[in-house]
Amino acid sequence: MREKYSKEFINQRKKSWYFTYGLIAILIVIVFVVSFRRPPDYVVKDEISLGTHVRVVVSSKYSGKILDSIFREFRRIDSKFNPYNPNSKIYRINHSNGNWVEVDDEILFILKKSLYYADLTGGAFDFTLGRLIKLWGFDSENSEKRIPSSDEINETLKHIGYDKVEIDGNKVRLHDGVWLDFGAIVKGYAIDRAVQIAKKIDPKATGFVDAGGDIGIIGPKFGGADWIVGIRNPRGESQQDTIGVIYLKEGAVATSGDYERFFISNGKRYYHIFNPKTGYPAKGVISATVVANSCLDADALATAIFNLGIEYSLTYIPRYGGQAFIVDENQKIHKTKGFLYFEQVH
Amino acid sequence: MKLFGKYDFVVLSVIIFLMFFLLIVRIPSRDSLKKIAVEINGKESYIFDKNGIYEIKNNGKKLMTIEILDHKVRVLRSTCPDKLCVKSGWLKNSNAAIVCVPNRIVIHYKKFPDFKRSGIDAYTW
Amino acid sequence: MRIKNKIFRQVTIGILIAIGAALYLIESLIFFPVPLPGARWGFSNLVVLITAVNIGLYETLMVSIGKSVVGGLISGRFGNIGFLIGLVGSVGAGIGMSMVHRVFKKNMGYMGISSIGAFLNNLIQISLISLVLKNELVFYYLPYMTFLGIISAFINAFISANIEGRFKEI
Repeated sequence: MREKYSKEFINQRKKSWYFTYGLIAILIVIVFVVSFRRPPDYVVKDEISLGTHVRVVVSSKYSGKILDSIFREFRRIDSKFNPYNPNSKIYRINHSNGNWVEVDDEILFILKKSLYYADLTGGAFDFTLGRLIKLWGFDSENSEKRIPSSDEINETLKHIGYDKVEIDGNKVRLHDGVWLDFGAIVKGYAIDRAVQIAKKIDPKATGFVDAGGDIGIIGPKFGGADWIVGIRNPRGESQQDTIGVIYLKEGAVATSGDYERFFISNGKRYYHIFNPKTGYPAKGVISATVVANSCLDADALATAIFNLGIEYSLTYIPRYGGQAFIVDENQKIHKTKGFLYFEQVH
Repeated sequence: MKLFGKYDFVVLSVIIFLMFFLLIVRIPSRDSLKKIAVEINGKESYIFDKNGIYEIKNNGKKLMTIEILDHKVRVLRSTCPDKLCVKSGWLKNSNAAIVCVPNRIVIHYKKFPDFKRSGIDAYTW
Repeated sequence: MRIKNKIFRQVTIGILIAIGAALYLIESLIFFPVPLPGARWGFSNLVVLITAVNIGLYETLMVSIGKSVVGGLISGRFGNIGFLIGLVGSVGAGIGMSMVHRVFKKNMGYMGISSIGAFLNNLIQISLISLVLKNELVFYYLPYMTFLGIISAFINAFISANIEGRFKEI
């Protein structure tokens, strides 16, 4: 009975089928595009820099360029900020015999940031411990590590104090033979720079920068998922022995622990984070992890926690813009309330 | 056309197989670390693990009242028009959820991940 | 069913939409065990099934949109999120059923087409809810909805097969 259908009707009928085929074709195309337009695979590169193991994981069209630039930047920062290397700028400032030294914007920035954190934490974060660190032998891997006599420590304590740093415009003067050591902050700064570089080269890049356990996120995993970061058990056998895990899409995390650089003498552990008042390693905390927007902030706060004490840290670290996970000397875990946010997948 | 054709039973069995497959796939897990999470607009806004009656607010606007009792949860009152969330009663299964589409709210159990088994990308130390 | 001219076709669509809207209203009053918006028994898909098998795709689209819109207006759900989800699900099911019929012709009976339609409808609805809520837990309800969907698909198929003969008399 087909011949009885009007032409217009048959046309309309055909049109509706074309419409459907078109719709399905579009759907298939969308599915294909979504599944095939995946970002490039992750490229991993490891190098020793800043006295530690640096790993960059990045996914980008320009991952080679990003990796090269990041490691170049790490080497540059390492040679500039290592206070025990006679060719570094910081070494020159430390050995200027109390004269005014002109510094560039980068050092000025680090200096001002350090002063800010020293003020904020009432000296719990101190960047003028250079001589103390040298005295204990924590300035380099090869130095002989020993417990100094109390006389030596008292003598060295005279050459410590962030109030002995004077800044005038772009000039710095160090009083009382103070030595700068930005070790607690420069790693964080380098990571922040690395993240910045990656994002500048390719705003769509994702990945992370890990320098000796301090991590800065370039972008979420596969563009949307969290990076899973394990928190090391400070008394664990290995780095892979974790006591917690956090999920990060952005921002940074830094941990300081008494297991990073230490020696044991008469069954007692002596490590590289000092109490600027006593001249001996800080007590009460064995590991502090801080999540913050920038790795520099996280790094500074994680170090400060060792001298701030647990009660104070739990209250004040969130006000300084970080969330903290602290292990005390009895291996009990203390967390700021906001830290819970990072322990879940969002 | 007939009620049943040549391939009808194939289609039916495929669908029924799919149904059972989906049922089996989500057998409730025995996770002890369960808390009750409330998502608003896809953003986790509340986490509860204690008994009590709680108000769910978004931007200061009261949206619903929920009751939590012995790891079960139900919606007591809601501002949504159809009240489907209230009608759905107690939520007991850890893989299910109470949803309120008009308010964009999902109430479900949140399992706190067992990190020892999950793939860790990096370590902070 | 032979549709000879435009007017006859429009009248047929109109009648089917009216029946569909009435079924839509009735089924929204019947208790449905799955508490999701837009989830219903799906008896109103009867008219979509009949149209898809006996008339054509164009009419199927008209009927599935029409019965949802008119039914939504009558039941006061028009413009609701549940209504929109139901509308998309029912249109998707209509297209799916038309295609299945076109591909399999006589090899597929009402029962097969109807259950495919019901399953598609559920799948689309749950996917949309999951998208709106940004939460995949709602897929928990899919097997239950599939089970209930098969029941109503059987009822729909049974009715369609029985009234087909009477259709021919028109």
